[in-house]
Amino acid sequence: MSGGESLIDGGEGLERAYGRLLRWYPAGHQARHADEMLGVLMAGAGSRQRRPGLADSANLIGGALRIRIRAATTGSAGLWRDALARAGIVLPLAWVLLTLTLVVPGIALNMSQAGVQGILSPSVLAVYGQEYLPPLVVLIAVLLGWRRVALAAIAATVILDTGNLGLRYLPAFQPYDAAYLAVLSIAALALVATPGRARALLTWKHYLLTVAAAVAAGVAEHRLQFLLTSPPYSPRDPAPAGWPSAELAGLGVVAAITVILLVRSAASRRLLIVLAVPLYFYVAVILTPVHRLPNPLIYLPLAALAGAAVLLAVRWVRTHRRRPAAGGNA
Amino acid sequence: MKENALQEPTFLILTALATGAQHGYGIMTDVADISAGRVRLRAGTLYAALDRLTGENLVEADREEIVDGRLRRYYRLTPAGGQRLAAEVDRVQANAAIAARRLSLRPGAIGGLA
Repeated sequence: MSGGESLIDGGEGLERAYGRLLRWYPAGHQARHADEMLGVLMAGAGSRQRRPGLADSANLIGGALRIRIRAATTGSAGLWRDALARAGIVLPLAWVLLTLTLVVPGIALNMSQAGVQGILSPSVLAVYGQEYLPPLVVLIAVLLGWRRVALAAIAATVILDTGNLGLRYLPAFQPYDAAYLAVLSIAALALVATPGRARALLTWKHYLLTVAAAVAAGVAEHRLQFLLTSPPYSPRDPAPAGWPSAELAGLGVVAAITVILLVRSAASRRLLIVLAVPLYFYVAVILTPVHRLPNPLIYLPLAALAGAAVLLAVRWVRTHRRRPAAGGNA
Repeated sequence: MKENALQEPTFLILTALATGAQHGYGIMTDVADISAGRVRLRAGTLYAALDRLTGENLVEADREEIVDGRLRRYYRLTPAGGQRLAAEVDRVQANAAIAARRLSLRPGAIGGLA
């Protein structure tokens, strides 16, 4: 062992190492407790100790994570519940509007080619009915506050869709289906965990913003799909239709307003987190023209959503077992 | 609503503060003494517990002093913390009394009926 100088150096090195570990703590906690904790850690360290032990390091990091998790969840349960409640209406509404925006050009094309009969034929009606009726029923039930009807419609749709996909088209279970499933799951969670709450929280501004964002997303998706799936340019071909600047500017304005309003308040930021899984799949729908993602990128987000649903369900059951009279049934 | 039982480290931290304010390292050594060396709190556990207990208004900062150029903060029980510890003591004592009585009734127990 070297002399006293190297011991001092060792102490400084140990203090610096502890200081690095304390950076795991939230900034507010660091500002208030870092110096104090360093004192405790140094007082408890061996006289010849030069670096933090493994157990101490793990304990400090674990403590930091516990404090961060508590800070993120304590006192914010109401905000999370409100975010989930809002998502329970906003998502089905956006989904229906988005699909309508996408399907309207097809209907118009059919009508221009085959007249009204073109869209009233049984085969066309069957396709539209199968694809667009279930979310419409869910949306109407959610908007009217018919909780049991909405839950039954969601359950029937999920069972039919996933059963159909699971039995026949498992390899084809792709972002579009996953996004739809995520939308329905979140709507169901909101109906169970926050009955009757959303309609009181949403104002006409929220509905207006949802309509604008969904229509803008539909227009953007339509344009992007066209651009991404168009044949490559060649010098002889005229350039395919690009993106009209007026349309682009309009979409940019809607997107900017939506993002600003979503990040402005703590409740809206939580709404953004609740929307993350369906948004992830929706972006995947747009950016992967053939709608292909490796399976883990499909199943992991869905597993995260399922995990959150299970946790919420367990908590809801425990709460209602403790206070059976408190349950609502809007 | 009924309160959950305190975890042992929490119980020992509140116990360490029951006789007066202590700083972090003092709490750690006192907890080791109270538990006869069985429970040795580390700094991460202690400060996560203090953060929670402060948030629950069971513990609060008492005073600060500078020792060897470093901040030392003392913590004390709040009135609610004292009540919570007293309630926990009652609960543990009641359980222990029942357990002792039942043990004494076992056939062959020393001082029992058999």
